[in-house]
Amino acid sequence: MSEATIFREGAFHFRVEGDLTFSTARSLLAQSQELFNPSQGISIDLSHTKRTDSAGLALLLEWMKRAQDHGASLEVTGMPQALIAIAGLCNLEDLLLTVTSKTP
Amino acid sequence: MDKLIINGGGPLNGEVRIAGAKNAALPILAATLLADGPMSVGNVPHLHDITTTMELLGGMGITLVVDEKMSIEVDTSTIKEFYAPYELVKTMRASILVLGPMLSRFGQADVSLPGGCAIGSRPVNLHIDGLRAMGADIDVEGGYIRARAKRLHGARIVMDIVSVTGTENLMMAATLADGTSLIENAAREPEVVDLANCLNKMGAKVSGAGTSTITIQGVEKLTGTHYDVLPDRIETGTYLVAAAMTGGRVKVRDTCPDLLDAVTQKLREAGADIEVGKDWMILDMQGRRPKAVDVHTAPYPAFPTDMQAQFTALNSVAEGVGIVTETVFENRFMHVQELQRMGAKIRLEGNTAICTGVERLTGAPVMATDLRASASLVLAALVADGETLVDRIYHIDRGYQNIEEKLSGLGGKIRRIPS
Repeated sequence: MSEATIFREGAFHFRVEGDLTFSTARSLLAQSQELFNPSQGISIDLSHTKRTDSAGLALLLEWMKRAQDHGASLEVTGMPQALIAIAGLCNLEDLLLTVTSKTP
Repeated sequence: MDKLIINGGGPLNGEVRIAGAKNAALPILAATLLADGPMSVGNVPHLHDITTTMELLGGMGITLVVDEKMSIEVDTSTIKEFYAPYELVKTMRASILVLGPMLSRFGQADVSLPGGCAIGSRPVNLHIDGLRAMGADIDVEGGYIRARAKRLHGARIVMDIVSVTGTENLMMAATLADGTSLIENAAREPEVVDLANCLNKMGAKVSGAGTSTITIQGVEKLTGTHYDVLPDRIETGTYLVAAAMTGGRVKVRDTCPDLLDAVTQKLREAGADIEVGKDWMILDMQGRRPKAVDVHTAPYPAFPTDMQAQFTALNSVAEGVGIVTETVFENRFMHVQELQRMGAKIRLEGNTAICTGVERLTGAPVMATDLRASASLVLAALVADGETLVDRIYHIDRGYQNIEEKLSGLGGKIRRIPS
């Protein structure tokens, strides 16, 4: 069973470690509900994630939607190439790139 | 609607990876309905019809996940609806492929009739009649095929016309039937064989796929497995023709040369040097102009109708006169008028196109009318003087994954203009 954890690195900075997949998405969503303040802009570092799949992409889209609903910003660093490829398959690559930052 | 702008130029050179065959991936995704347990399908092409199939399965409540190797993982344990709605079926006729497996495994299936398909027309009747022979209770009402069965039983089914999807649907249904089924006058296409291989890997007992008689011994259940879809033989052939027309040298990799014998033979006749490996092919034209070839389409293993338009384009710029005879589909020379607008000398006589090759074609605005016709226009544009604008390329996007990227990678001057 794969695992994943969200670590707080600063007031508005978070880091995800582990898999960003179907088997971890539910747990990561629950963790994010406790950690993230949706009304404030946050940045998430995904450079420490291992495997990803379309459920991981769905989770990221959920975080983007929440930020948008609250008029807050979301920035993602270390976006896994595999996640971008999956987004490409779903014609969501452009949407994903709107939150992608190259700076760690 | 997106358009392609192509500037004809020099020879294509380089390597291109061939995607999985859509016509194999669609039935195999439908076959996941038969699996008792999660299943994954790899080498799936990134095409709209695949997304539609995922939407179709997802709408039933099935869990679908795309992993980072782009394999599609399917878990049918969460299925709630046994229903394929008109909104999806009308955009993709292959949706009917869920009918057989859904009925066989779950005992019920409500599948919309494909758009533009009159009740009583042969293609749908083949599926319905075959399932009825296996004991299914089927009504067609309100535009839907409503099928019910406690458990299908084995039957001898003689298909009055050869149908690939009909063969596939009935073969899938028979895998979980009680007893042995025999499908006679079955389609022999490699995509049917690939489906049979997948079903056998899931635990089915299918034999004779690739011949006109397929025998299926029904089993109690099938299990999930991983299966990689076979490479697309038509995409392979299209890039080989592109190399031949431009006088270039192209290696196609991750393909299956055994599936292309009829095409390879014609390309050699056209003057191409072809080297073949286990999963690759190199076509080298050494800058020569191709020679015209005669082509006569027929079901597999003969020359495929899906390569007819590309060879018509090749003959348009070849040395000599080539005769292309289409025996599989009527009215499949829609590309000829557009090629003529680019300066091709083609005369149509019924189901035959007589092509007198010209030295050069001329770029022009042209319109894609169907998938393979579009491909032939792109190929012609690659050797035409000046700029060609190909409109309505949604046709080409249905069958060719990233065609502009792949051709650009080979040196073609092609770009997409988004709508």
